[in-house]
Amino acid sequence: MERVNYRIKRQWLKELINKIFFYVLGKASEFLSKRDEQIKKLTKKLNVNFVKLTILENGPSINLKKEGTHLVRTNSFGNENIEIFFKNTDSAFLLLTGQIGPEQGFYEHRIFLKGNIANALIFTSILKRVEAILFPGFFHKKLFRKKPKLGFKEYYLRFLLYLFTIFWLIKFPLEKNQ
Amino acid sequence: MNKKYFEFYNPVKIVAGYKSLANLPFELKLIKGLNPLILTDKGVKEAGLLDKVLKAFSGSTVKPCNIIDNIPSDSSVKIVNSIAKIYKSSGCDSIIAVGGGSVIDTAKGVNIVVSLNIKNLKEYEGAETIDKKLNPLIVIPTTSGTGSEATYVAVISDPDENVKLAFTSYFILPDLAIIDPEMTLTLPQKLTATTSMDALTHSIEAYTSLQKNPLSDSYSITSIRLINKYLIKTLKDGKNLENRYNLAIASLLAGISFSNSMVGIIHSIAHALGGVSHLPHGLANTIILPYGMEFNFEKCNKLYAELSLHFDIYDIKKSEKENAKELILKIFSLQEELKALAGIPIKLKDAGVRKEDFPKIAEKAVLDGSSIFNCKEFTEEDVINILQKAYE
Repeated sequence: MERVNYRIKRQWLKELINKIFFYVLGKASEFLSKRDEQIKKLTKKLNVNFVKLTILENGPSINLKKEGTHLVRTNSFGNENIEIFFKNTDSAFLLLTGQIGPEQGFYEHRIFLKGNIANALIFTSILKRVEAILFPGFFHKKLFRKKPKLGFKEYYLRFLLYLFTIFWLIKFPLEKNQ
Repeated sequence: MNKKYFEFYNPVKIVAGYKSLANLPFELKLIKGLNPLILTDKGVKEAGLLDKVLKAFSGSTVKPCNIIDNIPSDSSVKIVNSIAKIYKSSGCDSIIAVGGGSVIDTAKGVNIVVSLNIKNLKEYEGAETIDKKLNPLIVIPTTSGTGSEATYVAVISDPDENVKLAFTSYFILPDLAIIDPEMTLTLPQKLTATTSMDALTHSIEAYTSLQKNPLSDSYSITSIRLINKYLIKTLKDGKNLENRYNLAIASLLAGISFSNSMVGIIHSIAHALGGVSHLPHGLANTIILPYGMEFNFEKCNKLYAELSLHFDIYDIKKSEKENAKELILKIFSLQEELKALAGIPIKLKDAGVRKEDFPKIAEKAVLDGSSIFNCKEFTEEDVINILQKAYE
């Protein structure tokens, strides 16, 4: 028997897009948790100090630390935490590009949780709120079981978020540890 | 293009039917459980069911290392940790759970502590925290409802913090479930009614859950057909082995189904009613089931119409919505029948739930793990509306 030589193709483009969207999602979560009242309320309810989102295998991750009523990105990760894993690049791509919502990710087993379930549900609600503001309305039917109601404040936040996203994307190549 | 995706997992070996309990020592040898610890409760012991299990060991080289026969109905982390110490000091290598949901969940908890060699079960609270295979676990259900013999969840209370802790991992699943109808022959009428309604709720919610899939659907449907055919018969003739066997299988099928598709708002509310008002889980589901279905009607009526076929009430002349409504009416009339036959309360007020606890119940229900799988998103206000309808 001869050894078969094979090469596993990397999904470079999807991996890059995931990396960028992950970076934007982390930044957006931090940004909105300081400005949106609903996210502040939900963050206050969170009974853990750290939330980690990771794309398996060896993909990027975001660490968020709870500071009072808002979330900040951090490189540290301590006890009292929940971890959310995307099982693979494709699952992360579907979720990060708004093709499926966070709840669908859970119920289709595309993402899985390590840690307290009630806290994961609160964090899912935060993620849903971030996505509701981040993604334009035509994505919402796919992303949510119930279409979120957005008012002037949310549209204003979305406008600000888009402006900041342009700035973050310019900064992205310079950021370390992404 | 169909982008649907699902996962299904059920490695539990099922040994079912007449005299299946006699296979226990043989099956234990296969999974290297030569010194099992038996866990059970007072009710099971008093009904003579523990003796039946012990009789199965007659003439075998496999012998129980110890027996704990006083597991309470609402087991706690403390109890689990103390049983784990007994397991270790008695030189046990496996666990046999003989009982209903509480005994089985306690056994799952003990298995986590002894297999991972930890001191406190709380260290492994939550989802997917276990990363290795646990010791052999055998489950012999004595009720027909929880389906715990085929689920990867254990719920154990922490009285210090007044919360129910959930442990979920595929590693928690038992290695073997023995479904012997003789083990449910002595189950009182009230418990037969409420545990069967628990199983029915598992099947209906699994069939309408967002995680539903073709495999879980087939388990749900068979389970529903069996409950529809045998529940009332069993309440009228509880000593009939065929009736008991079919209800036990229905419960098992419902367990496999919801373990792979999850449940929804009815269970979210039932878990909260258990936590806040200490309402037994089966009874909570019995009361909430039709009201939860009414709430989901808008999103689930097509699926309810499909299920009406398996309740033998589907009418081809009627529309989907009309058939779905008929199904809900059927569940309401089933409640009345159970009340008449088994004397169970079918209103929250009669079950001792206090109206002033509704906000607490609602708060817990929306944070329950099942909430994310319900076909329709719900808020605390929606839960309070359902509770009010089910109150009196």
